[in-house]
Order: sequence, then structure tokens, then C-alpha cells
Amino acid sequence: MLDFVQNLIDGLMVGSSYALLALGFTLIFGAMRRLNLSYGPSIMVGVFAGTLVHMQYSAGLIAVAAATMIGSAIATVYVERLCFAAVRSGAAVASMVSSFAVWMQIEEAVTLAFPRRTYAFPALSDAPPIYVGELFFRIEYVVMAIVAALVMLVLYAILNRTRFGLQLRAVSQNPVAARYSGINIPAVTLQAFLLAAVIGAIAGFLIAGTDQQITPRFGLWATIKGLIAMMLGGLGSIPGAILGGLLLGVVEAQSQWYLGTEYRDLMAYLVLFAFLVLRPGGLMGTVAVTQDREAARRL
Amino acid sequence: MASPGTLRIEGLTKRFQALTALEDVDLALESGEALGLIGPNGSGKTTLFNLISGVYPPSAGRISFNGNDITGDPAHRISRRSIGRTFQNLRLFPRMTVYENVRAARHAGAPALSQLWVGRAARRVERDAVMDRLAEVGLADRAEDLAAELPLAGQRRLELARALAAKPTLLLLDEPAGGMTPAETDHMAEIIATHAMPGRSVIVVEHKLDMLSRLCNRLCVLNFGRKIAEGTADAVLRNPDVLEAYLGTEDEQDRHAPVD
Repeated sequence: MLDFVQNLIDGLMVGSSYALLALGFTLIFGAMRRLNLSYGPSIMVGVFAGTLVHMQYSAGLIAVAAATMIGSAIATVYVERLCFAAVRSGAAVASMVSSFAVWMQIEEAVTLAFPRRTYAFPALSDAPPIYVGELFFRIEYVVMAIVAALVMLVLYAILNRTRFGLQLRAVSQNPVAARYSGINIPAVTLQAFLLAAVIGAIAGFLIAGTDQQITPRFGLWATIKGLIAMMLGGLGSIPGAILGGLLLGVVEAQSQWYLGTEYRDLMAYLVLFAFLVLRPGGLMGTVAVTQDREAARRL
Repeated sequence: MASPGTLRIEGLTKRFQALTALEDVDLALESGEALGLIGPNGSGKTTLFNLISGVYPPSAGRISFNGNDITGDPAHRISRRSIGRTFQNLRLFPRMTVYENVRAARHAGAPALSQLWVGRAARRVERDAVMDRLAEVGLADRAEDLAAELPLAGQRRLELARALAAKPTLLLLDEPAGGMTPAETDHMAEIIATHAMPGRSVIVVEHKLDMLSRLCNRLCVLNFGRKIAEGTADAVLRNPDVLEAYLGTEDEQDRHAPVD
């Protein structure tokens, strides 16, 4: 029982970073109803920018975090211009496929620029874990969970309290009405991508700072975690993205403890599979999926 | 520059592959004028609205607004030139509150990133303005409900409030009383007359002729994409071409009489 609770706590804390990745996917999906497969690789560019600043100037954590955000934002704008703005009126699948192509391009470019593959990333904290009774808390995980919670609160405020958030929600709920209300959809979309880039960069910084190392495979890893968490929570749902991330973290932590590391990812995919079969709308199923199903039924 | 709200349409044509939805239509609207647009289903009324508001560019012809050529401009730019519209099939933001629906249309033109932070005073001004629009359409007490929870008549009034919030000088109303009961229609006509028409030009598409002749001094009739009549309501509704387009010939009327 103690193990279970310990895994639950660890899973929730790690899951908070998955939730941030899922939120990034969800913001982009909300603005465009499209998947950006290159979201993880853009974040990977960010963490390599962070590492570069760390290695060259032995910069502190704040500077590394800033470099991560800037790198991720630049890569995201590149992806947005190339794969999304350019084929705005084309089929959704065109964006998805081209974002996959740009992913390969980004991964190759980073591999060429950083030939050693594995690079050190500064630790979030080197303090020893805190013990509360028989439970222990890794400081990196605690920092991760607190920062992630703060990011979610700020995101909530942006979406619900600002005009930008209002416009983004308007675009996601009814793009046609948004356009005739005078909302500049391309501008709002680009800003949604930038917001997602910053959130993803924070997640990447927290994760890399916990692992203390990065490789160009980080892009693949982040895209997969974010996509699974989003699918578990429900495509396009903000609370769903958070719940999905936390659920994924807990499933991973429990299966790693009880079944072994080699089963961790397998269990995550199994849970995703079960959801897709039994509850395709995810935890907080939204309109998007039901509409598709209705459309399919009518055909 | 021409006075605000003047619209000039010359030779407007829209073809969708083989179908000609609108053919060589001329139309002039003076500042502050209310024009009723009628015609059978499929006669090109909504196509005309879509062309004016920039849904798609025309195949031929010119649209100028306040003396500026707006032919082929994209929709959000046209909306910022202060042309507002409502939709025959409602287009609200269903999971936002009634208040937020109207708020989204205000300041829509300003760059979004500059709107991350809004001062307290500006927010109060905004709140007052939004609540004024809601009060005008009788929805002030439902400000915090979700738009999807309103009955149809309420949703149509909300769309009107949202269009008014952007302070258009030309307002296009596409069947503002569609699907409403006679009492709701009267209410809508009254709202349009008191709050939508003063100080702006309005074009109303509506099948309810009582409402149109009450609101508009001039009617324009489309049939099969062409303008077949234009003039005062009385004159237009006595025009034999209009009667034929609308009601069929006398023969047909007899045949269809029992059905209606």
C-alpha cells in the first residue's frame, strides 16, 4: 500500500509535465483543429538552446529556461509558417503530414549541430529528497509539480480573463463566427502556437532538468507523451489535457514499479488502446469527436 | 469620402461552377437607409450577403463601401471596416457565456497580444458597453448563462447584440426573425427599429413581409440571382413579376392552394 501511494505521488508529479505537453497540443488543436506532430521536436530545439547557453556561458537556471523558451518559440514559428499558415485552407491532413516532415528535418539539423547526441542539462535541484513519514519527495519532482500548477493557473487566467483568451476560445468554438466578428484568425492562431511553445518549453526545461541530460530523441518522446495524454483526456479539452497527463504519469509510475521499466511504455499504450476502444472521446470527451462520429453515422 | 454606411454594388456576379447564384446585380444604399431584400429560396439573397461580407470574392462586379473599393477583401478586414452581419443559421460561440459572446466582438480589430492586459477603467467601460448591448436586446439578466442554453429567439437576439457591439455602420441581417413566433417577431422588429437602425444603414433579408414593410422604406427583390424589382414596399408587392416569382402564376396558386 505504501508503495502504491508513493508511486501515485511520483506519478502525479511527473504527470504534471505531461499535462503541460498535452495542453500545448490542445491549444494548437483548439485554434486550428489540427495536430502539430512537430510540437515535441520544437521543444527539443529549445532544450538544446538551453544546453548550449549552459555549456558556453555556464549560465544559471533562469537564463537556461529563457533560452529554452526562445529556442522553442523560434522553432514553433518556423513550423507554424511552413506547415500550418501555408496550408491554412488545405486539408487538415496536409498540415499533419508536413509537420511530420519538418520534424525529421529538425531532428536531423539538431543531430548535425550536436554530434555527441547526449548532452548534459543543468539539474533543477541537487538537494536530497524530503521525507514525510515513510513517503519521500524528490525535490525535482516537487519543483516540477509546483511550476506546472502555476503554469496551469496562468493559462487559465489567460484563457478566461484576457481578450486574447476570449478570442482564442471564440476561434476554437466557431471559426466562421469569429471571422465575421472581426477576429484576425491567422494572428490569433500564431499567438496560440507561441503560447503552446512557451508552455512546452517550460515542460521541456522541467523534464530535462530532472533527467539532467538530453538527446535529439527528446522530440519524439515529448510528442508521444503529449499526444497520449491529450487522447486520454479528450481531444481539444483543456481540463482533459491536465487529467490525461496526470493519468499517464500515474499509469507509468505504477507499471514501472510493479511490472518493471520495460513494461512502462507498453502499459501506457495499452491504456491508450483501451480508451480508444471503450471511450474514444477520452475522459472529458468534447464535441469534436462526437461530431465526427455523427458525420460518420450519416454517411 | 462618402458619408458612413453608403454601399455601391455594380454588376455583381457570382458563379459556382455551372450555377450562377447571382447575376449582374446593381444596388445602392445611402447612409442611414434601411433596405429589405426579398426573394424565393435560392434566389441569391444569402450569396449577396456573403459577397458583401467577404465570405468569397465575386466572379465579376464591384462592391464599394463608404467610397472605398472592398471587392474581394477578406472577411475580418471587411468586418473592421464596420460591416456587421447576423446569420440565417446561427453562428454563436456555444460554450461561452452570453456576456462573453458580445465581448468577443468588441475590440476584435486590435492585435490580440496587446490585449493580454487591460486596465481596470478600460474594463469597466467595456463591461458597461457589453451590458448596454445586452439590455437593448433584453438579455441583460441572462449575461452569465451559456449561449447554447438560450432559446432560439434569444440566440437570434444575442447574435444581433454581438453584431451591434462592433459598432457597424452597415448591418446585414439574414432572417433575423427566422423560426420565431409572431410575438417574438414583433419583439425583434421593435429591437431592430429602436436599437439597430438609428445611425446606420441596414439590409434585412426576411420572408416575413409585415416585418419588412414596417422596418424598410425600400424593398429589392431577387429571383434566380437577378434583381427583378426595386422600390417602395407597396409598389414592389403589387408588381406582377414579384407576385409571379413569389406566389407562382394564378394557375399554380389554385393548384397549390389546398396544401398551404
